[in-house]
Amino acid sequence: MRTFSSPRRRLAGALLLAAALAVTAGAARQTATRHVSIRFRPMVGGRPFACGTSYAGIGKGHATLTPSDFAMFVSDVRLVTTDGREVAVALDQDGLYQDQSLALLDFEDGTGPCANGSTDVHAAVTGTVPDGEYAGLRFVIGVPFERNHLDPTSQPSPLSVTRMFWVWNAGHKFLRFDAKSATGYSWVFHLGSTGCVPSTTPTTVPTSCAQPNRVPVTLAGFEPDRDVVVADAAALFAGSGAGRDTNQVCMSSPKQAACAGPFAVLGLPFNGSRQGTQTFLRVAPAADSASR
Amino acid sequence: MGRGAGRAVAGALAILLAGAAGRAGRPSTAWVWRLPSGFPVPKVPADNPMTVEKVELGRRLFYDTRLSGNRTFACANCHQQAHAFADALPRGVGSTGEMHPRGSMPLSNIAYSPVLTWANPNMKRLEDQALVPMFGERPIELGLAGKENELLARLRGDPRYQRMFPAAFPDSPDPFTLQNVTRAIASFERTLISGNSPYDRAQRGEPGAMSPAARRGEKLFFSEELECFHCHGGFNFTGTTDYVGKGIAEVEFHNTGLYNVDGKGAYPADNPGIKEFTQRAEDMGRFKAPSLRNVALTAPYMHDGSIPTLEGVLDHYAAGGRTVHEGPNKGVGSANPFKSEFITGFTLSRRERDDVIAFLNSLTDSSFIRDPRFANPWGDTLSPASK
Repeated sequence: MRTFSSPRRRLAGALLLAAALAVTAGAARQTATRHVSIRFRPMVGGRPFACGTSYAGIGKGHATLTPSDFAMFVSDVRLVTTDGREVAVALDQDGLYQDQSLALLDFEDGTGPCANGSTDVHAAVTGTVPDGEYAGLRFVIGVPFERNHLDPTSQPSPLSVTRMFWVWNAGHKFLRFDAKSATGYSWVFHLGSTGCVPSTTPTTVPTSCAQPNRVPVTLAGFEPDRDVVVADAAALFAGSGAGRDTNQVCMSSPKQAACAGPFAVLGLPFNGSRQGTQTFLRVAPAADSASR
Repeated sequence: MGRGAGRAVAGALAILLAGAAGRAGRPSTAWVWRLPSGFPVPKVPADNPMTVEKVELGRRLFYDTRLSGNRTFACANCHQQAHAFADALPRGVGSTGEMHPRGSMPLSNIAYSPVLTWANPNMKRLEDQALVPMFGERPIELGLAGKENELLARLRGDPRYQRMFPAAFPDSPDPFTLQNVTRAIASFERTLISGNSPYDRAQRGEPGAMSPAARRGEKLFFSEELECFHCHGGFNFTGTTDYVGKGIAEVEFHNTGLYNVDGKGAYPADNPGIKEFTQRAEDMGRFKAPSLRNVALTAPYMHDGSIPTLEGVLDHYAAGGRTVHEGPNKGVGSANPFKSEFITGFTLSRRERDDVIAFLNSLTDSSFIRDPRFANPWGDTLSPASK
């Protein structure tokens, strides 16, 4: 991604860096900190995700899918200490993928059918926490409400990434996985807030959304040095696609039948169902390359 | 904060300010509205004041096919001057051939519209709306999602834009930004004022500007029997209007009984109206009543282009809602439970119907669609199709 090479952005980055240094310098006197990398492992059906690769056996109808995009926003990242305390991860402010408490995980590399994406990949959330023992991870899939509905052209990266724009709904996509089936059908899952109602002021900012569709994630036992977070796109479709030869397109509309499966996997309410626990993301040892 | 870090912040700030001041060129030329008599001043967002340079840049961009992923399409493909900046298709077709669920809306007098598009109550600023055709993926219109850097590089490489962007945005250290692209396009769109139709000329006292038939049609249009003006009232012939000094911006969406596919008020699934956003049952089929200025140029009609002619539209309203006799959209629209209370039906003689049509034709501003200030500035060198 080269959006950030503008002088204005470089200066903004320098300012942020200077501010971060100042804060770090002040904090260093009080508490010892450590740097952490929370690694994500994108997969499709237990195999590593790669643009243009075909993956067989997806969904109930065992479709073969070739993905063209896979990315998600995460925010409010916290590690849980072994004695159960939550500690916010102060994200590295890289001017690209991480800004304030928000990070974009971008798993595609711009090759083949991912041509609308970018060459760079960002598959780990990095930041600083107090020294300590950690055995748990919590975060939210999504962009916080107060940042989701601003003019995206005035926002710093990663909110300036147009692939994640969801301008029709005055927000951003929180999670996207796009693929084409071997039989020519679209398998597309875009998660974002819906049912957003307008404010009375002459701006585009909605006052509320009936379906925020932010996914709280709790991964017990996660140790940042040992483990990775597995994001297997096939899990989203585990309950979908009984017939291979249909489009499986979910744009987070409560009307779309294709949303029922992925929403259940994400633990999101759908047409009257209750909030549950997400099963899309799980913990696996980094050394376990199969990560099943 | 440590002292060293404090100095670093101050130093960075100084560089920032110096950069902005160093790059600032000549100040821009403030825009002066030249409005038809009786037209109010359009509202302009405080963060995007109108300037001559921005408008001219926006006009270039509006007609520039580099604003599509595959370089084949510009805004002007679906918003053609000859059709009052709508097109002649039932539903829009984008740069990759994908069809939009709804038709392109005319842009004449769009500066007076406090809510844009057929049925999105959240879409209020032209700057924001421009992002939908540019970056929307369902449907793909201009097909620029993920291509923002490529787009800006294309624009940056044009010697003309190397002059025009800094002139339009003299305070931007790097004026080649998406925000400046949308601000320029919005500024141009706000200049598309149409107020020189036979109706306007008659309003200004020009004798014979309107035919006797159009005059009779005007009376019918504004009658309580036809109720047209309840939704298409005011100087812009739409209830959804705002301008400087108006006080309260009015935003209206109406179900006109165009469909009733399940007998319980449903519209076809791809076009539920503002219910798509509000998710309230009673908002099914509620769409914006568009301005009727230049309406004779914007056939086919309704949000989905499902009525080919103005005569057909009048028949739909005369029946108090359309009955679709066969096919997947079969149903009695007049029985739609969510229908506007103003759609009650009426009876017109053949002559009266012709008179109303004559009146609607008198809203056509032929000077607007030939105005060189709004035309394609690229000539043949980079001309989008403007069939």
